[in-house]
Amino acid sequence: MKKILLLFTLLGACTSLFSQKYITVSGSVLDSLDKAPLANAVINIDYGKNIFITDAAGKFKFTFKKQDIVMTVKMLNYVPFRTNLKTDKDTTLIILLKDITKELDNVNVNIKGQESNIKKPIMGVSSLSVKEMARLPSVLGEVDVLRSVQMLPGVSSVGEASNGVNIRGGTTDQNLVVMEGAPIFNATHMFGLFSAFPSEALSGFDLYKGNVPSRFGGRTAGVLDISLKTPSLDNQKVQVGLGLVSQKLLYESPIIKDKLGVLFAGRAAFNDFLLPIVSSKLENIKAKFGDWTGKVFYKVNQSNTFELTGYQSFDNAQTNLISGVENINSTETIYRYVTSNFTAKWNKVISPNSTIQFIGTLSNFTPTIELPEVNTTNEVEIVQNIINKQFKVNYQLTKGKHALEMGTDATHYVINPGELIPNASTTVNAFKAPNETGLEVGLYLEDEWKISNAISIIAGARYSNYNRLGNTTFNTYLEGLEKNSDNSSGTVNYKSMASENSYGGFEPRLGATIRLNSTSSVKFAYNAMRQYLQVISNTTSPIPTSRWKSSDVYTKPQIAQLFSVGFFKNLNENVYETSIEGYYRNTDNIIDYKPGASFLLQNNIETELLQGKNKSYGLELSLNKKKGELTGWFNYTYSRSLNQVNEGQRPTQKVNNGNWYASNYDKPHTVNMAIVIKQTEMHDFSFNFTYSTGRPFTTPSALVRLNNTNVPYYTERNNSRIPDYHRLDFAWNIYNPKNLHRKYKGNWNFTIYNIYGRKNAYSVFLRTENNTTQANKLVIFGSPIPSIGYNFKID
Amino acid sequence: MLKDIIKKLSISGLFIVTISACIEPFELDFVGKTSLLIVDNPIISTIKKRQLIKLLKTLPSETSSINVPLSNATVSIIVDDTEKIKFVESEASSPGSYFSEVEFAASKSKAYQLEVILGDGSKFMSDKETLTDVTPINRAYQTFDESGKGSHKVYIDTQDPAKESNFYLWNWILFEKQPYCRSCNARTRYNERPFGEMGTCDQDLTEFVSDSGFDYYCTGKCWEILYSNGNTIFTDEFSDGQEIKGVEVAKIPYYSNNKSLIIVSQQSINKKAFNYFKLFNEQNYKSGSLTDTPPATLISNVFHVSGPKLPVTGYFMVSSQKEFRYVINKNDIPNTGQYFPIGLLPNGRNGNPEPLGLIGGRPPTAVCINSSTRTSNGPIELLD
Repeated sequence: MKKILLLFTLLGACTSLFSQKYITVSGSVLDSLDKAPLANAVINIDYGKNIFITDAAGKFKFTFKKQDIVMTVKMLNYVPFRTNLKTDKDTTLIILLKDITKELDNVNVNIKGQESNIKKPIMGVSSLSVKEMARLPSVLGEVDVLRSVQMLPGVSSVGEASNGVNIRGGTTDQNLVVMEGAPIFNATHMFGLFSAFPSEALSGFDLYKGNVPSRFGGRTAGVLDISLKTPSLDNQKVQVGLGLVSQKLLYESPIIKDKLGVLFAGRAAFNDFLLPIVSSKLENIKAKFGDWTGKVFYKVNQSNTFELTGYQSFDNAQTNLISGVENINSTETIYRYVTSNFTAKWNKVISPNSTIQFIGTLSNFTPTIELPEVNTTNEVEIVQNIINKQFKVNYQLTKGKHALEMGTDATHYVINPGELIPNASTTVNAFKAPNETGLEVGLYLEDEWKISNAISIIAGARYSNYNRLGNTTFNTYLEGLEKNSDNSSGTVNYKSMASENSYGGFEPRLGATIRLNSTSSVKFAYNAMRQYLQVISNTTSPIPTSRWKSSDVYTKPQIAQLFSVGFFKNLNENVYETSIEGYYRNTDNIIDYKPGASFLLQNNIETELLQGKNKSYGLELSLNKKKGELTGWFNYTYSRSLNQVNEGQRPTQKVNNGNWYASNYDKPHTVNMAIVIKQTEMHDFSFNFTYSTGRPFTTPSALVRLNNTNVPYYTERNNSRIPDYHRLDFAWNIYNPKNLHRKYKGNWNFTIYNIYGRKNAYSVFLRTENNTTQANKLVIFGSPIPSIGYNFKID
Repeated sequence: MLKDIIKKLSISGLFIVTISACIEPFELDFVGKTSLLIVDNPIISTIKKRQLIKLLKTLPSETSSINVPLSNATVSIIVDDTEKIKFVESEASSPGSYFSEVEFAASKSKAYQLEVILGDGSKFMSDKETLTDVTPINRAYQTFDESGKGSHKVYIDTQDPAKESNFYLWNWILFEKQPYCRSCNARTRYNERPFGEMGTCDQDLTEFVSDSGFDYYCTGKCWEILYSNGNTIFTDEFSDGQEIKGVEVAKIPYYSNNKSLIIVSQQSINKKAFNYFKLFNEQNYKSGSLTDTPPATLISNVFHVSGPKLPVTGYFMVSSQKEFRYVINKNDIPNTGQYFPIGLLPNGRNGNPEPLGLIGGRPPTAVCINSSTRTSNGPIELLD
């Protein structure tokens, strides 16, 4: 019976073949805007079986002997046209091709606006829209700001579980991360695996790593300024994302049409209940996190708007990848940390040329360590806290060739460096390290002056002043000797705002552009920045419970000066942007640590700290294709980051004998490549590739026999490198084109992170077990990680 | 079924990948560049005995470091800058081991300083170290840790003296019953010697020899003596004057079903020594986390004074110590069929005794030879 069926099928196919006739397809290929004929357009039939070229009038004609063909029309600088032509009679086609040079940018990883990368007198500024981030591959399908910025030149991290990014060889805490103007002290979930921003509600970010506008201060390496969407004032929108890790929701709605709108976005990940099902060994691992934001936007009239924004993120995590707390005996260590931010903004348009903004922010970050005691139900807690309040007034005026920005800000910090709460414990004493309270005041003025068509400058300065508030008692130490308990000579009390506890100075910000022609320019920049607040952590990447510390009589503020120069060239009517930037940054008073230092719940922390210098320099090459079916970028960075710490003669007062040494973030060669191919309205796919030199780590100079065990003996820090890092990722987004104009739009997202499963080392270390010492590497993502997600929105 | 589906889904993308990560062996090209004097963490204790100082020297090597005993040194302990106690090398039995000529015990009111003069005239002196009292261990107890192949964690409680900073160090000695006293390689067979001496493994070409080698039961009772590799340390910074409870001092693999004895030694050390061992433990036993601190030079309290310069590692201590004997019972091991004793043979392999009666009169038993790692004089707690 099967054979008979097959025979009939074959016969049917043959009948169909013999009944085919010759069909003629003719037509014209025209520019979609001005309808000009396009000569020499290439018409490709059935994947290269036949090729035709349009004539001078843009016309073509060919004949074929089939009922359906796959036809592609391509021309340089035009978006290709593809169709599956099904016809049984002669057909005439008018094909309109879109000129990509007249498109809006698809990918924008540079200064906003057409040609602005050439014209604007600023350098080292990048931005990326959330739409583009969503197209790029991500870990487990989570759209991630911090991973996306790592694809930009000059931005790196120490590995997959890095709690932040390193900008041009700086530490993570040398970056100011602000969302809606409020600083975020811990920008990641799960110790760095995911960014802690509700991606559905983001509109995009600006990353400043060269010229930093003078309205920003307080950090020495860079600024990541993240903005949220403005709630819709005309219709309701719902957006839902279902992923393997988290579930996301965005809801926005007008309350009063064209006047008042609200937005809510949230993300929650509570999948850790599955872990014990996978393996009983994972039953003690906790991994819950979430974040949400709400925004109210009120347009009082054409001149006044108000915005209120709330943001909260939380983590509850437990992993064997983090060491427990020493000297408190507990069965396990649970990390819980919460960020609560609030922003209020009033924007007032004073005149068509001037606006003023009043911004108040409150940031509250509370990391807690919970320690269940042995043989009891009691949990000992260690609580830390930072409360950061800021008020800022920003005025902008445009007049003639000048665009002025000026303002003032005042930031009040209260840091609780650590409080030990025994609860019902009978073995642990209560302890509280004294609060650190400080006030940082800034005044700034900046003018962007278009001197001529060829020359523009941006010149400004920020003056910042920092004071420790409240009476503070410090230990004193014998003159010229190492600060340690043996050399303590007594105590001294400083009153609020005492000069010994006050720091301040000017931070000039300069940028200049010399436009060589309409497509190229040369730029110069100088930036100075001061930092009065830093993380105290001697690990490669700080963890959320790392201690924050403000400057005081012993801990001097960090001061950085950045010089940069660049050449910018756009090609092919701004389809391609290229640039080369060189920079040199010198930072004084970086923080380093004595061997074996510990900071948690410690008084007199100055006995554990060292201060030194960092010099970072590099060259960043970038090629960015912004328009067309294929968009993306390629960049190469050469960068070095070196430290020198030499506070005195004793071995504990210097690192590597006081010589320059490679910092943990010294990765000389980095290549990043991102490609997005948007072939049809139905789908797009993208690839990321990244390569970087392995970061430094420390190898021993001898193995010595102590306690019947061969153990490593170290003399020189960061004298080796872990293996080079590289990784390829893939993402495929599938849309339903029929939904484009419908209220309900859904899309599938399929990603593979680390396609070829490279076991990149997060760290290389030596460990002694069973009397032998073995070198090991810690791998975070050692295999391809596929994920699938479904997102839908209702407008 | 549902469980399987969830499991597959989870493995494909959930947190298992993200938070359990993995640690893999790494080929590290290692060149031993440094030549060092090793003072093998000597402790002058409050127990009157011939005190021991072990010296070694590390020689540079292209592939690793070579540690050799350092002989012909002049070793002394200087007490209160005046009295000198000489040490002599027991060259024959253990080169590089220097024993005090006389038995002595450290006492609280005195300061002790190590002096070492090498054959080439280079001289090394330690800081002056003094003794601080240590409190006794109040109790010890155990839990069975079900992770991996199973192990017993041993905890202790002790009372911390109030209003003073105290730094503790614990190490231990373990006695486990050893059924096998001799192992022979493949195609060899054990033959006794008279008068209780250790026999030999002789080549045997009969058809009954094993390709993997045989293990031979002990003649009489025998106990393996195992020592802690690292040290557990603790400071009372958060628990001054309280009872310190639940300090995990040992994690003992599930060697056998026989009860075993652990002797935990509690010592009082000073802050500098504490910092030394804290760094030592961090970079040797606690590495591999996301929060590793950069490895650093272990700064010894023994310094070069004169002559050819040589860096020193190791920490010289004077310490009072209190011991606590605790019997580890194995009756808390879950009877789930999941855990099996790993035995006391190298690499955790199972014993393979020579079968009875293959050849008349065999197999023989092997003598338990007393040494630093084995004894036939079992602790009283383990004698049935």
